[in-house]
Amino acid sequence: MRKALSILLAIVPLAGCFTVRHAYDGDKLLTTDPSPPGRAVKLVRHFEAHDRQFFWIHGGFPVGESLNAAALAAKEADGHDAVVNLKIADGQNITDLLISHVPCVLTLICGTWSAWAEGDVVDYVPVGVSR
Amino acid sequence: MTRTLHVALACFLALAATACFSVDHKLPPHAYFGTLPASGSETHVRFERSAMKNWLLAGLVPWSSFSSDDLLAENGPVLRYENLEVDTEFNAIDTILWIVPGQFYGYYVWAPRHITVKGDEVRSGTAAR
Repeated sequence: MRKALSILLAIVPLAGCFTVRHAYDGDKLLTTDPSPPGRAVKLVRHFEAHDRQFFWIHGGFPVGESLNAAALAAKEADGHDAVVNLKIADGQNITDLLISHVPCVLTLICGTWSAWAEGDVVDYVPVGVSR
Repeated sequence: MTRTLHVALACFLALAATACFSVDHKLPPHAYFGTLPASGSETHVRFERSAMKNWLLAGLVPWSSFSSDDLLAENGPVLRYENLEVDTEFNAIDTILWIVPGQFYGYYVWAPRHITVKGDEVRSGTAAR
């Protein structure tokens, strides 16, 4: 019983392991929609962005800026109006897996986690101007 | 022949491993991070839905088939989803399920994560919020 309680107490600080939150509260419009309602848009470029975060001790102690694919997409739209056709994902690719399982010993010592954003950076077409 | 099989197996495992705990957050085409300019005849209803997604082999093989858009199940017509927040979380329940029983069934058998989607459902009309 004492052992079980000790294990529970030990894992409580790790309850946030590998948590990824995708959210955005800025002035860019980020949407899965090909075009926002009532607004014509002009394609600037397509993008695929990736970010990686390092964690100590089974993900319990993340280092650096938190993963956020929505913020990643907003960064890609810097200087432009919006991102459309947005797709977001998170998890581990082969590089994360190798880092986490080999030098980091099955994530016990450390590990990495990734977030991905893909979409189209667009500008609004001014009202009255043909596309 | 054996060598070919070994190479094929190694390639398969490497390919499978690339999806480790990966969550492709599928969302419907009327989903927005942030807010659109308000229209007078729309109603915003805050929602938050969560579900546990399960994997075998330390995240290599998912056996829960739902995706993020299943958490956006519509109860009546929704014009769009705004202020979205999508979380992949290893919460306290996941930790307890994975680590404590894991002492008995092994670290690689069952690995859960919680997927949570929060936001505003925007519907036409001016019903009570």
